[in-house]
Amino acid sequence: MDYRDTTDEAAFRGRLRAWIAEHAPGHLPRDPDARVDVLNQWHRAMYQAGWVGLTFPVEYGGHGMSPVYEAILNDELGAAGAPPPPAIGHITNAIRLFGSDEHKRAHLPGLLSSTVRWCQGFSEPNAGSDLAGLRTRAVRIEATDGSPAVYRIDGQKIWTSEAVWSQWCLLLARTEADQPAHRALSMLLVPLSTPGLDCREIITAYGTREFAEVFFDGAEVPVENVLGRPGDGWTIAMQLLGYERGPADVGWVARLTRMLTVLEDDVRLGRVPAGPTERRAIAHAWTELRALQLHVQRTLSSRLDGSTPGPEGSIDKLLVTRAEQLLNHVNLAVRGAAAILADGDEIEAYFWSRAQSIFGGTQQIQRNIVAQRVLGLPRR
Amino acid sequence: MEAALSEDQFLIVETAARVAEQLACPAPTELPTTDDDLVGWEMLTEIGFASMHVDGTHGGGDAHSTDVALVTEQLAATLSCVPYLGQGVLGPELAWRLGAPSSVLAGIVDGTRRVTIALDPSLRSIARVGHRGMAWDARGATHALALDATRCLCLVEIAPQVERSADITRVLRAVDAGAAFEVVSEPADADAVTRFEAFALAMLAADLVGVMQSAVDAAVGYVKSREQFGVAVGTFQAVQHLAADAKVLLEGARSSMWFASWASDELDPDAALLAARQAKAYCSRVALEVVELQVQLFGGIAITWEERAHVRVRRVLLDALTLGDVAFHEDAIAATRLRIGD
Repeated sequence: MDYRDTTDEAAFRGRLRAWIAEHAPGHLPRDPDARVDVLNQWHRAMYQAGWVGLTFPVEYGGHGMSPVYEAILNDELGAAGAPPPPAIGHITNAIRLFGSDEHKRAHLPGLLSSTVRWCQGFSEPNAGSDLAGLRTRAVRIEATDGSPAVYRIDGQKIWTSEAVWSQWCLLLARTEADQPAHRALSMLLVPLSTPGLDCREIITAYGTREFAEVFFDGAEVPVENVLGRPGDGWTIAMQLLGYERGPADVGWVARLTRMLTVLEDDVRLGRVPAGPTERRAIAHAWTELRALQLHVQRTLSSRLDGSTPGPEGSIDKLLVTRAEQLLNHVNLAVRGAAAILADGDEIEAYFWSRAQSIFGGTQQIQRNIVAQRVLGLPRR
Repeated sequence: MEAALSEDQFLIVETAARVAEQLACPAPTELPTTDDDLVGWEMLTEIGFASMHVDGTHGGGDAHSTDVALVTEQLAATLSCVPYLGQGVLGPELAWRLGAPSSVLAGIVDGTRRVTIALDPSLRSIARVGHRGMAWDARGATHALALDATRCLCLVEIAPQVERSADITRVLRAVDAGAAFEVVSEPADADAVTRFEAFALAMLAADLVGVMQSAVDAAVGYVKSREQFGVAVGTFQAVQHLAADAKVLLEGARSSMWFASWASDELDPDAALLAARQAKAYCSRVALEVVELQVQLFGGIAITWEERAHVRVRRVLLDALTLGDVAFHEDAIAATRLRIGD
């Protein structure tokens, strides 16, 4: 046990901090298209400078470093108020672990360099928490004219983050009609430019446009675009979720730390008046956030032996939810009328905090996982 | 950065768990009503758990603060009534940190002299001699440590009768305003007091984590076996979610406590104290949530004297208040972090 940086970690942190100070964009534009342009530039610059794919194996274009470097990266980005790194951990690991050599060659460079954007097509209007009940079908069609076989896709996805700005979709669809639920799904790599595919933006409760619905109406992809084997989709999806809740959590932690730091600065400099009750509430928020930071560090340390994320990741997700929702209540309470009348970043962050207990597996699904797979309580 | 237990630390946990099992709190109907605990105390002294943090040159065990926290946690996890935290950890620490002479320290460290800390009646800080105080975790103790107005360490006599307290695993005994005392050190420097506070708060956090672990284990075991509607109640989602919430809070608390206990020996006094306040505030808050979830998971049986659930609640209530409650530490955190000019 040693919470200090090693010499190498300290050197990395120093180089990173200097680079961020020089390159980080300022406040992100509110206009969604302008925001995406800024983020794309930022992620490509991060890649050029060697800050992307830190833990990803060297043979696939990453840096092969230990998981604690992801924690340092997110610490420093958060402390500087810089935008988070590209959220590609789950898709890159899916392709690395389950893809063919051709998939890896074709897709990993674009993913890591942020020159090709991907989205994840899992949820459907009638398959949210009950993901295995999804209905989008991909039917294998053998051509009669000698051209290669294809999967023909029909159905609808929803909550597909960043679909509007992406070029590819990692799609979970039902391919094996005769198999039980968890062996009936396959993971497909689908270009969003495929004919028969249509993306429609969803405007969120806080006025942003990061989600979309994706409609499939006879869209066809070659059978080679199956990741792993047909029927592996559920297994792959479950392993991805571990990565989504793993080091990515630190990205969330960095964002929350930034939010609290700004509030503390505003109070310290007298820009936001705060009496004893408000000051105590801010300390409470810090106390919760600090517990989360320390817990995520512990999770990353437990992965130093290269083990893949397990069901304990749900504990991290539930701690993020608790800290984020408390912090946003405190932020709104302390800022008072100013936040309500501005209807700006504070309100957006608040709504986002309510989404935290819904997306990526709801709070209730995470509790099921902790109860059944961590504590060993029986399933019905 | 490595936020994980070392192999040696795993061994300490294993050993401490075995010892704690032998020193476990008996059924609440058989709790010791007297001051007598000689067997348990001698065992902790012989095995080297008592005074293990004190410097080796003074006869202590030279252990890292994290190791002491791990032992404290294990003893708390069996709700042990042996006064380890008061007389094996905090008493020796205060005597050592504030420079008690070897004539005083030697007996405390080798376990022959039973000395704990005295707190003021609010239980928030070390008592002042000449004022009424409370000897904390005083089962079998003869003296307590308090401070005078110039921060000199004083050895004070403890009143014989046991005071009422919600926590039935620890004995509290009064230190009278007129109790005889002996000044045993020069005025302590502020850093030494800060060091003691940081260490003490981290150890209290460890005690709380132990109680939480015990609550989660017991309640999960119970809902796996208790049947209603023809099935174990642990199959119901409403029950599972309570258990999951308790587990999540326990692990957040453990992560906080690990860092605070490490920081106590590794960081400068102010940083160590901030880490300790965070851990004490967080653990106190969530421990109450966890033991209350435990009560709900046990259902009616938790409201009986014979079931241990109330013993856990009682221990949490006293620990949470000892050396400052949640509000006290969060106000202190605000004073540090929101200070103008930082």
